[in-house]
Amino acid sequence: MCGIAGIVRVAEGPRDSILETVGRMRRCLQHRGPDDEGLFVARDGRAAFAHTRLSILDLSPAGHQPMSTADGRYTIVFNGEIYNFMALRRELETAGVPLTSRSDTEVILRLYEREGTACVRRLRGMFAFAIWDDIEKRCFFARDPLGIKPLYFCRSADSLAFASEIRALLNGGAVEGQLGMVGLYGYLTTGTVPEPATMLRGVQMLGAGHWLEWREGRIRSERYWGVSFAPERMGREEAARLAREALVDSLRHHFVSDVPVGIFLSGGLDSTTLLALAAEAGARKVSTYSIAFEEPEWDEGPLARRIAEHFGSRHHEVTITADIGRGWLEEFLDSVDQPTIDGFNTFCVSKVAHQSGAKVVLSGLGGDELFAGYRSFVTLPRVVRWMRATSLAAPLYRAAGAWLEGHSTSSKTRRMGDFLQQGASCGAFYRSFRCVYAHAEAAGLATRLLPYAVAPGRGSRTANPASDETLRDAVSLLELTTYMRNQLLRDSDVMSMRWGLELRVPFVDSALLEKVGRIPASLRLRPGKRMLIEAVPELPSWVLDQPKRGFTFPFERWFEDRWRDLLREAAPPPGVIVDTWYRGWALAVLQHWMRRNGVVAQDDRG
Amino acid sequence: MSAAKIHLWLPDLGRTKGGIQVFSGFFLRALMASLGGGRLRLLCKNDRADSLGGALPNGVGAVCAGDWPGVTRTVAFVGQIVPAALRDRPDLIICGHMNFALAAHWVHRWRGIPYWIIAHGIEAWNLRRPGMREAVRGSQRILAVSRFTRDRLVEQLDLPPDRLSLLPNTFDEGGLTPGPKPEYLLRRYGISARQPVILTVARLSSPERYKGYDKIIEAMPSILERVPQVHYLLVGKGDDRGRVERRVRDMGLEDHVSLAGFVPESELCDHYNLCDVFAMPSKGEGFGIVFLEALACGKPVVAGNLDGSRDALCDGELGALIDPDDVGQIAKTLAEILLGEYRHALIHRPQALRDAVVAKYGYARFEAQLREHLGQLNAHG
Repeated sequence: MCGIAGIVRVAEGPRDSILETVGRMRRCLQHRGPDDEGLFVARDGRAAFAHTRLSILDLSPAGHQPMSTADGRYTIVFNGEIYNFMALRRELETAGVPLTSRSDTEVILRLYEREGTACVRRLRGMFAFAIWDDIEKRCFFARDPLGIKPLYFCRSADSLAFASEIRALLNGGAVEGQLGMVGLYGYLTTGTVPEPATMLRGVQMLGAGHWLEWREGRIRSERYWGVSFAPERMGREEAARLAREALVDSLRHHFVSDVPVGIFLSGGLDSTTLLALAAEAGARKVSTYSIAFEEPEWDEGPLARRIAEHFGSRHHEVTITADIGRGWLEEFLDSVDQPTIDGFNTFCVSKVAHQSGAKVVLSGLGGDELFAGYRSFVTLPRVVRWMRATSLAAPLYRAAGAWLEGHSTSSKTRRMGDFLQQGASCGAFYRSFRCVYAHAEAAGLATRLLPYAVAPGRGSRTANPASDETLRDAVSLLELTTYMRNQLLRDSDVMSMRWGLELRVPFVDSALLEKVGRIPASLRLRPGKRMLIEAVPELPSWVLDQPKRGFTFPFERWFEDRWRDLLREAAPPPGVIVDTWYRGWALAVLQHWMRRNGVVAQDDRG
Repeated sequence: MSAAKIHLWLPDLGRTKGGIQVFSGFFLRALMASLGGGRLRLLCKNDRADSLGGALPNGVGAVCAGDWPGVTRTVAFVGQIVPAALRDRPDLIICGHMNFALAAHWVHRWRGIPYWIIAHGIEAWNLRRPGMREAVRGSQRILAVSRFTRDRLVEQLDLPPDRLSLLPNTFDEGGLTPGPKPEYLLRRYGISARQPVILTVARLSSPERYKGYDKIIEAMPSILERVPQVHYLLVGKGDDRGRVERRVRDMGLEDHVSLAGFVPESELCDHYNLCDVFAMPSKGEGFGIVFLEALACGKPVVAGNLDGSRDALCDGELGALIDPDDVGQIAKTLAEILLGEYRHALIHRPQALRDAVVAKYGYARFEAQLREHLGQLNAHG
């Protein structure tokens, strides 16, 4: 787990200047990999890579990156973990490929050498990497199937620069900080920047499950994996057995490490599942980490303690008060890579784990998306069905929606108005369900910052599942490919890496998804995560009875009280309602991020 | 031409800054300079007398009909120009727009006063009304601003070619000079100095969609493939803006297109200097003064090959002419110019472009040409 960056260019050029830029980018990624660092520059100056390393597998210098093949043809920088690397290694060795290290990095390099772009289909894990081919003068990039590890790139006619974080491109000088309309609008509507757009004009995120090949300034790209469900007929027991097998298998792979692996324990079903299955997956005496609050409605501390005790883990807990949180906030804001309204929870728990000496931690992220843990799984099908049943009234809905969005003084009603204007599609409802600012408000806010740009249209960038044979599958797909990918996974990467901590997400695994995707939605996506509970009978009944809290913080309370002044700074323009903490917070984070990173809007007064 | 008396009928001088208005201003200036001891009477349809002050040369008064609303203005203007001509009996009437030909034709029939017509562009390409065709045919001379317009008229009306003279458009090269990308505009549009910029300056009005900005928007995705940071800046306002915005959204180009809206004259030169190529693959240009302005700033120009733009670019001598309907060719040409791969003698040499356009279309050349035409009138008596 590391930070990667680099530049490839069409023409030969001086090695010093390219190394200098790449060196600057590396310095911006230092926090991601405190254990080692490396630079590579091609003889003709056409490519330069940088790497900062957090050693998890093969702690020896043999795992050093950038790593080149002995003949010097291929060079790789890689961020992530390949969980099936041992199997792949054996396969390569059987085929007579000489391997010089115990690292997964070398496995990717050799696999690419043998199989080319198809190598990505063989990898199980989380990854973002670049491989330079010094003979063909081409560069191959890939990102893991579900989008756990980020890879940003910006391209000009004669070069391409890439990095694990957008700030490395920006502060390394590969790109200038001009705010982009699509990313900004996406942020204002969803609270995070939906890929492949980014907050910066000219910078893109390589899509999850995509590879990209660059050659002489031209690119070609392909999606090699996508979320899909292939339900088969089966009974409850078979489904439970299948889900359990898949979970244990994923967990076993996620415990592969040369350093101890801990677990973030929230008191919820997902993280408890990880702990409950840890022993079966081969882990002994794991450490668990959790956060407690003074506010009892939010506090999962006692529950997490009891779970830890029940399963016998070595438990670490830190209580975070409004004042402690406030003290950490500045540091958090400085860690934000792209604006997000979330991430503080991961920041805090990663800090706690880091300070307790942890290097690798598992998180229950993804369980809600796979096993229907969100309210959206109940609400969306109900509303969409009802809208379809009353489709004759669609013109009426649209008119009412327009009126509500324009006249209501409640953000909730405005969002509803936004939805009603879009018709009975899953994507539209999902968007307003998860939305921060409704379309007109977001477009208005974005246009204030970018007065000469065109704001996106209503619903134009809403993911819409191709088929919604079962509405719950559609919700699952939307949750996995939007909220989880753009918000949860991105925040998890940035905030854990801020502390040089590797966060692993066993629920977010392509092999697991392919297996549980065979279970029909009628079983897998029963409300209240019945499927997960049946698959893991070890879950204590007193955990099941708890109301869902997730990994949430008492922000509402804090912003009303001790944190009130934070929102005052970013006063909303007239006509924009800030009646929830996250609406104000979204503006405050954006303002701070722009200032901190020297990102500029369009200057209307110019 | 000695002591001639001329009536000049113009659509307007000072109200807007369209191609015809700008031409009219230069024409007036050149006419005054060529007139010697002659007298000029100016009649403007759409201007108001009180707002015209600054646009008039010394000693020239104007009669205006701009105070009349809507359709009544045409009637009022005819009520001004026809009696004035009958009363004054000028030696020549010059119609600054083809629409005035009908009135000039009547006056000619009654009083034998010769009249000339200035033919700009689209208004002269498709004359259907028999009365209008006769009025144009009956003129003693037609001054066409481009060969394209001239040829269309010859073809339509079967006119003897010597009835038509060329008086190509001119422009004010003085205010336009090549320069670095202005910082304040880079900030205004959030564009980096390294970013290649394509510029169009055109009214965004629904009847003028022929300007071709749509085609550039359509070409953007393929240009972006080869020139990834390219930005398209569209200057101009009008009722077509909503449709342009939708087009930008539909194509997902929100981050690659900026709509500058109205830009004051004083910032125009800076906008030309902000761009790396000026493109307007129009299908309806009588001539296209904006091309000359961009060239005067040393910018490569891309224009359509089906209209008067061909004249402005001297059949490709000054810039790239492309089929305005061929999005692929537009994309290819723009990408090649931005990448410095386009093969052309002048296009990548700013100062040479400027020198060439000034030599061809500078005001000095314009005045000399008009003087020559008027001299011929004199010679013919």
